[in-house]
Amino acid sequence: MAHRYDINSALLRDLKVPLDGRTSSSHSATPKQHSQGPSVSGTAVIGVAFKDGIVLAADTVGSYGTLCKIRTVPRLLKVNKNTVLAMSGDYADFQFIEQHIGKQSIRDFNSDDGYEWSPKSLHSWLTRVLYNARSKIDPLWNSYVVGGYETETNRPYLGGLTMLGISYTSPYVATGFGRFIAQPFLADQVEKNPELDEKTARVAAIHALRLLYYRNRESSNKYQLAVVTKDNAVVEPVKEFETAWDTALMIRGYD
Amino acid sequence: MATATFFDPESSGFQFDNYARNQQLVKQGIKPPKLMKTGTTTTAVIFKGGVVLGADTRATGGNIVMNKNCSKIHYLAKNMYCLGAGTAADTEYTTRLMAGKLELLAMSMRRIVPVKSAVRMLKQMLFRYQGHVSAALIVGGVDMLGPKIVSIAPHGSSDNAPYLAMGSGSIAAMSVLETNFRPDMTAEEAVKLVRDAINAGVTNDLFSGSNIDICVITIDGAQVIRPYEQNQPEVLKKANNYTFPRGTTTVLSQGVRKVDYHIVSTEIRKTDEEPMET
Repeated sequence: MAHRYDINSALLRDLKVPLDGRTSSSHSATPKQHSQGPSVSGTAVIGVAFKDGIVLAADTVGSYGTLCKIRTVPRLLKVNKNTVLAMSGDYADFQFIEQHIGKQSIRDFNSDDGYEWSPKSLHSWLTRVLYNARSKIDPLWNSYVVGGYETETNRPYLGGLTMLGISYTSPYVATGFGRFIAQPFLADQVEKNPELDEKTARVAAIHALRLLYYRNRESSNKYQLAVVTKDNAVVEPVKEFETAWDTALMIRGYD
Repeated sequence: MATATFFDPESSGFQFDNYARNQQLVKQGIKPPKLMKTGTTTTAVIFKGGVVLGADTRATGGNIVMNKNCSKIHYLAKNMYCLGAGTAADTEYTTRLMAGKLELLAMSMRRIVPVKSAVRMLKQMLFRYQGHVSAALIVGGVDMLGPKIVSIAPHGSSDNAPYLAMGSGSIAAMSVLETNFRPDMTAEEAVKLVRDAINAGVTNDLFSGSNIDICVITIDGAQVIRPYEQNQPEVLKKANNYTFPRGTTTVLSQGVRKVDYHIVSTEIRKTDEEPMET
């Protein structure tokens, strides 16, 4: 309870776990530990579907409990020219998934049948991986947003996925704290204008990140966007968005 | 004659005397009653010349909606109203107690009570109860120093800002406020902003819902608009006004009669009271 302000909770958790699972003598063996929380983690990610594709947005902070440990960490992954993945949660578990996807892509390439990940198939596979891990009470501590362009149906695809294996598709997705602050905003935008164009979707996604920067402890104003259309998927370089602080001048004192 | 034991003027408004008894009852296996909470969205905004307060009208007990149309805009003074989120009883009685205290203060000060007085009194009371009085309030009003809104958390801390939101739907409402708030709005713009913020809470938070109530306070006075907006299903809407005027049922005759009664007995008794002295 007091840990939040004196000792970093992530540091405390990391120090408790033995560095290697094996021990020197059998009678001091520690039992296998299950995931109890993230170490270096990413905060909320945003996904918005527009008429011809999707936009994924994430800031670039790698938090270590309450410490902002790494200022620029890529949380968007281009899987192939139709599919992009955005992560929030434990970064190590994301890197494990990243390598898993890479290995599977190589296997698919080697079978030489032209088969590649589609956003739907990636979403489905990732759901199985996460659900099976949670069923062993050892979850991969992540929430994902899977987005892309389905060439079979010629429609944009956007789906959300949590560490418990809750999987769904929607025209707008937000994970973590974004569910409370960004999702109402995105829902309103999409309901007002069901046929969004790319420019509006980008502005909406960046504003959702701005709202997170204002009200979420872990967010920052450095961000990355990934845009997928019929032609290509592009993960754009890291940028910074502007914020407005003039209402702060209206505040004097606390009562 | 024994002194009345139910009212002790020395003690403060709340009494924890029943705490030990309640613990004993729980030990005996009796289940405590479910708390009625106003899982809520409340919002306040300052505009040029006044404040706008807004709230939803849903009160929940666990996962059940206990009241579809409760009022969360509480009267404090003619120039000051209070939005209450948290445990319904706590917000209701705290604000009632405070309204009484403010009336007395206004009489003794012989002035209109400023918002900061209400805030100071509320804070000091809530801090005294160390957060056990679960009332998350937003006090809003117009006084000699201008329009002012202040939020008060259950543990007794206060926050001053041009736009505020409290309750379970506060984060959804805050996203609307952060996007659309501008300084020096007109009253219509401010009402629309508050309405949109409460609507975000009502839509996205399961513990907020039903109608939207609005209160506009300016230097000229306060106006409570209840309901400002309703989301009633068509089936529940009344088809007609069912208050019938006099004469709808034909009056056949009217008259006055004396009731005959018998006097059974008369008695003269001496009272124990002291004779009245002039």
